[in-house]
Amino acid sequence: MRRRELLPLLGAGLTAGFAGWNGGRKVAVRSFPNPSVAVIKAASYSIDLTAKIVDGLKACKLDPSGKTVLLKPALVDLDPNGCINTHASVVAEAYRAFQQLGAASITIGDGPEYHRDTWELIEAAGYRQQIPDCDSRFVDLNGDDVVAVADFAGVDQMYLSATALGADIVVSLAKLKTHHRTGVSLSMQNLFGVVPGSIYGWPKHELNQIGLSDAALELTRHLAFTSPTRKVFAIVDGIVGMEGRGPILGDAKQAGVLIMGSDLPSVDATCCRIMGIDPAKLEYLSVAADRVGVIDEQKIEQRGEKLKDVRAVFKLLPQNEQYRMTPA
Amino acid sequence: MSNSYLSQRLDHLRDSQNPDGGWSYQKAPGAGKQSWLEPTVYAALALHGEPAADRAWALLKGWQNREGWWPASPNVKVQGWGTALCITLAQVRGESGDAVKKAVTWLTSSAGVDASWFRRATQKISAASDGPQDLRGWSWTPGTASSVEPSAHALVALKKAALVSPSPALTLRIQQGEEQLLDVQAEDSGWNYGSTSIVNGVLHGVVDVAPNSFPDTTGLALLALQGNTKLPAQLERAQQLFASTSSSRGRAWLSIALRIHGISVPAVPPADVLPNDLSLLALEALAGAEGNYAFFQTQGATVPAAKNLGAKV
Repeated sequence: MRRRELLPLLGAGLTAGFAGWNGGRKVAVRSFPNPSVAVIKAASYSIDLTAKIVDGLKACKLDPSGKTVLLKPALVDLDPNGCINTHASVVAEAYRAFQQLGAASITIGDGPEYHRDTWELIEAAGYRQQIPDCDSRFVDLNGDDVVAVADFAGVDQMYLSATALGADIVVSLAKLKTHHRTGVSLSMQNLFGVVPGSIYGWPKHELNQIGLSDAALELTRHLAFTSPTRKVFAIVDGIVGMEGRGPILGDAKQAGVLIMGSDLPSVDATCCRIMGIDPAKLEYLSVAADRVGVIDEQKIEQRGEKLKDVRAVFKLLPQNEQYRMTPA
Repeated sequence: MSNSYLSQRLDHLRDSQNPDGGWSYQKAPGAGKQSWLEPTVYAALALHGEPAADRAWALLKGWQNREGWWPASPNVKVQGWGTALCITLAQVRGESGDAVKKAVTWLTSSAGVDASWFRRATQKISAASDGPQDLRGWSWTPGTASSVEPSAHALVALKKAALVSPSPALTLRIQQGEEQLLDVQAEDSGWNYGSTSIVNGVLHGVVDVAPNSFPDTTGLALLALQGNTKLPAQLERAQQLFASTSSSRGRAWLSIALRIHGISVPAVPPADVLPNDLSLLALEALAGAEGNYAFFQTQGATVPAAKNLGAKV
């Protein structure tokens, strides 16, 4: 590090506690019905995932028949080890599952947060090979039409993907990953992809300005609770996840599990418990708790596998060991 | 690249123009259809000299805000990084009226927040061992950190504007922008999306990326640094990236930059399927040997002759 880079770092240290600590936390605390989270074992990508996903959707009582569905995978970067992006098989088989359950239309879309060439990612991630007519079903949310939403974490107007806001069900098809800054990157952060790069750029610095916890909370709130007809749902690809220096530079971690539910904080909290992380110690989940969902284990109705049977402790960076779940 | 490569792309652009004169990012079932600044500017440059390009410019002129900046799309109320692209297009079209001057003034005075008083003060204090710095890049949106791509577009635009109406303020701003761009080079002599410096207490970027360079931003930075003769390592890195990348967007920007720096670019075998992204399609048309890549030149003739093929004038 050059010396002139040091002082800004010190300044940052002083101000870091205040950065991003604004609008989202003004969202009122309220009670939520006890959510269901399905935990389904899936040993590999080559098994019948469609049936597993259908089981999960039914366990969580999501009925997509006649609905318009947006499947929003996590497309982040070129992924030679297969642990950065949502695996193509999970996307393709989620597509089939929603089709099987009678969805009226299914679109796949993402707006990668910092990689500008979305189509390169689609090709490299194998989506074109595994999803029939992929190009005609896929919308690059970075260049999508937009709709302005008001009161977004203190920002008067925030523009979000019209395809996402227009869907009856937005499915966050996330990846089970650690994150060097926020501890984990799961279904709530995966919603960053509905913020259009055409306006906010690559990377989407606006989200940093807002604060990652508040941005995740506000995206969840706007997608899940501002329309009487729109729902969110999460399917987290934990068949192979990422541990260590996620969400890009970490290592592959086999966990063999899919985690699903319509209350995103409860899905993320369950993912954390599988990874050996205490969700209450993560800022974004403690902020989201009782504002846009539930993280209290006692209130989550677990379907499918018991957590102890699928636990796969993920390695954390030394500075993130503070998030580790205390052994019972 | 063969003429068919270019004419195929230009034909597709002509066919996909929206009735209002602009282009959307993606023309596919389910995708958005509204016109956006970025694909519209690239398409207008690629189709320069045709009525389609005139309709595009007429549309864009109507989007300009009274303060001089352009939004990314007419219903977006955010000061737009694409203002620089509109200035470049205006220069290519020989437009130099008050509206364009206002845009140049706005762009000259805008900067990323890393150029804020706090950042600059800390730079001054800490510059004792490294020499003085006055780094001012441009950001995607107001109040956020500088990034390579908006900085590169701004430098191309202001350099082109300076050819027509030079001024000390413009010269200084260009110099500050160039210094910032050189400062955020990756260790491998290319560029990624920007520095890892600190802005408002948070590290740049939501994600932690490897400190290596990216093809598109390396091409863009080299485009912005035209006239700098001390870039052999950077140009070599650009050629390596061109040879290795699987990104069509990256290859397009690298082609444009390398050609303008006088380096020949190997032909890319035409893809079976045209890109879905119309901004990319237009960039590919611009980047071809017969394309209008010279419109990004910031030295010499301000309005190079259009070279596109099959123009339906």
